Amino acid sequence: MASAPSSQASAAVQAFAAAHYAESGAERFGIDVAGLVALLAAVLAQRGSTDEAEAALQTLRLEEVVLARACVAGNERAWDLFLTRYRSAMYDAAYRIAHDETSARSLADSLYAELYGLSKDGEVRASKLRYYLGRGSLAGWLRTVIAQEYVNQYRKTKRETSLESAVEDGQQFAADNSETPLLDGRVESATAAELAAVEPEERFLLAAYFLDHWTLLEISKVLGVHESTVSRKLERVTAGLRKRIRKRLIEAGMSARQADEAMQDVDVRDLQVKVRETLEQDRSGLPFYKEEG
Amino acid sequence: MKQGIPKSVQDLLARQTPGDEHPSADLLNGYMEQSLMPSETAQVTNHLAACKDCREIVFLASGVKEEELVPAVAAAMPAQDRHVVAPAGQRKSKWGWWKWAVPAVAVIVAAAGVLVEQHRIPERASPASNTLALNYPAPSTATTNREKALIVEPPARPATKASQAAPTESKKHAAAGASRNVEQARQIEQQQARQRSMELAQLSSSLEKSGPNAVPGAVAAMPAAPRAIPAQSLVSGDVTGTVTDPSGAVVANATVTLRNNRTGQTRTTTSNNSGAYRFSLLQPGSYTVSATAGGFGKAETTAMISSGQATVGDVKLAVGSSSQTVEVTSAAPLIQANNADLATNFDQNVVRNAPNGGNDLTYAPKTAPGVNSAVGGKDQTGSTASLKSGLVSSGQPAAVSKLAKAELPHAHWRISADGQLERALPGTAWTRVLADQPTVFRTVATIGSNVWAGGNGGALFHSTDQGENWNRIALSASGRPERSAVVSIHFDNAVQGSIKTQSGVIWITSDGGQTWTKQ
Repeated sequence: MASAPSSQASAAVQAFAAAHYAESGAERFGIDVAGLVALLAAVLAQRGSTDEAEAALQTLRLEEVVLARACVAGNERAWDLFLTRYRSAMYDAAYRIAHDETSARSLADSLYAELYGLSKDGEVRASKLRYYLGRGSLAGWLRTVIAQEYVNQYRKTKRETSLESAVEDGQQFAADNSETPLLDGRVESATAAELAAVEPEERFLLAAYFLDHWTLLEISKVLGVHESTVSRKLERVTAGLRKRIRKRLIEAGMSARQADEAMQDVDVRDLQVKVRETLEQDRSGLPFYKEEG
Repeated sequence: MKQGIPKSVQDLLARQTPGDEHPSADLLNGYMEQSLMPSETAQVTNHLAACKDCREIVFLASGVKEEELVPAVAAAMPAQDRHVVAPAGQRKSKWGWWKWAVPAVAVIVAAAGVLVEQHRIPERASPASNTLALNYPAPSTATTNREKALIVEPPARPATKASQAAPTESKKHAAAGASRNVEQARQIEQQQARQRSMELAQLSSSLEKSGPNAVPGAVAAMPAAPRAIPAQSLVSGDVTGTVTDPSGAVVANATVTLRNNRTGQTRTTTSNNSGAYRFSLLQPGSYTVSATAGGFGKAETTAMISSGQATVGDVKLAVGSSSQTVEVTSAAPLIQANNADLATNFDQNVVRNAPNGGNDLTYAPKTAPGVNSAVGGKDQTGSTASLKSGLVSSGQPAAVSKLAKAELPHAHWRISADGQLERALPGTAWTRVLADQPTVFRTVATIGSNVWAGGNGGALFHSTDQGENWNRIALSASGRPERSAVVSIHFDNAVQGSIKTQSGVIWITSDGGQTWTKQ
């Protein structure tokens, strides 16, 4: 029984490979139909979507997957084509993400080395392109990988906070915050219950808009819908959440006024203002409190 | 939002932690391009709702979509990539293989960034769909090969004098005491970059057409390129600077030579219209930059290159001695000596954007040097041989075989009850067409010998020969493929048509289906 889906999948792969061999561009890299079948099977297996093989194949970026796999296999012609198509786009994407030429070059160059996949001893190649599985365009994948790399680097440097700013931010000698009033248990449980009931996509919208401060346009770009749709959805979700949480709070014994107060937006007392970063104009001089000697 | 969310919600959102592993770049990209399976979309959405890092990645990556990249490619490329363009035959091998390997790759890439990428979807759809081919063989020659590039033909043209004129221009500037106008210089540079990109697009199309031996320098560089890449990461530096004359005005087209003081290796480039030059991928060390230009003496400066840094090496030229020789040379473009065919290439942008009253397809070839209309059945030389096309080139009739469509019997088309596409040629029974496609067809339309068939999953097929050969057209906008079934196809004429999908989306074309635009 277990082999039924996989044999079905392999039949689908074979039929697909035979039908789309010409447009896959596999021939120019010396990959025959059997090779293409093996390649597709490997990609699907890596995706873990052998059950949905047929559907996955319909949306597969065939030509780009074949190109990426040929690059992984070290095919020079594939590399030529890859460089021709994507080199400048990579630099450009890196530039737009990093916003400065040196970082962009360093970002793109380090990715290049990973894409080419030379190991330390220079013998075994393990190109990062093997992780491209054709769900979206290769150019988009490269942009995403660059963004990942950038976020990783940013995270690394963020950890290396200077002692000076740690002191300034109060992290070094953190105040005992045990007296900080915690959220009312009822508020927390009501919020948690209602938030859990919100669809993941709506939670994503809330987080992107209210936590990450994306604009409606930026969200609409990612979701592929119009700004006004995003706006409407957000309006609906926030209004619904407020209403339902308020209802729960009242059910839990709060008066209407208490419930409204508990649901106030952000309390100014909770705002974290980083005085140093806000006021700092010039780093060249010594900090005024720094003692001599 | 006007109302915002309660603080408690914000707190809880911020405290969320993803319970699963971060999705791969492939999944995130598929999510952004909306090409995931429903189960995958749910998985990624769920993760994104709770993972700030992944949202950040999506935010960064989605902020640089392809359509925004295209105009910025030239600007963001390393400066050397933009400037070093040398004919293959003039290269010297003093610098070793990588002297030209990287620029040659960059050269092709410049074309790729601007045009090849744009052409990719049409190319997949139809090997010759984005091109126009007109050929003008000499009387004794008949070409039959199918070509991608657009070919008309010029007699040998005199080389442009622009390069000789440029220094004079900047000297005039200097005499007038004009200060450097940065904005203007940038615009000029962008124009040049665009022009180079077009030239390079032509080069790359001729490479594809002619096979690997056509331009030995450029093509031979390609296999070497990947090996060159690791070498440039973080262990090289750049030197960049501006060449100016004694008054401080920039000197364009100055020959700038860079010499490694340790090894004696040299590289040469020329300053651009704003007088700037750049050498990239240099090993750290001491270098001498020297510059010469007509009318000026040689000037030198020393630059210390550090890893990962762009060192500034400005050069100020001194006025040369009073006796000088002005040598004006010009070279004809390379001429195909094997046969008498000559060609002019028009790329898609020229065909699309050049002013063309009445959208007459034969107008573009008429802009090629030497090409005229045959008037009243006779061209200007009195020949009547070119009646069919109405075009003559250098007095010779133009071959029109590539514009002529073969006369095909009129076929009938229908979609069977089970969604199969069927055709009946006169006197024959209905037979299935595109039987190898899993597509469930929904509609079929014909215009002349062109047949368009659409079906589920955004499938669109096009045949230019009554269904003998088919191309699958990928409908996509902003990298997002059309997934809804194509339910109606309508062509007003050979070039203007529209498609409607089940979800109500309209796609239109105004170029005979080469490109489709989502409405």
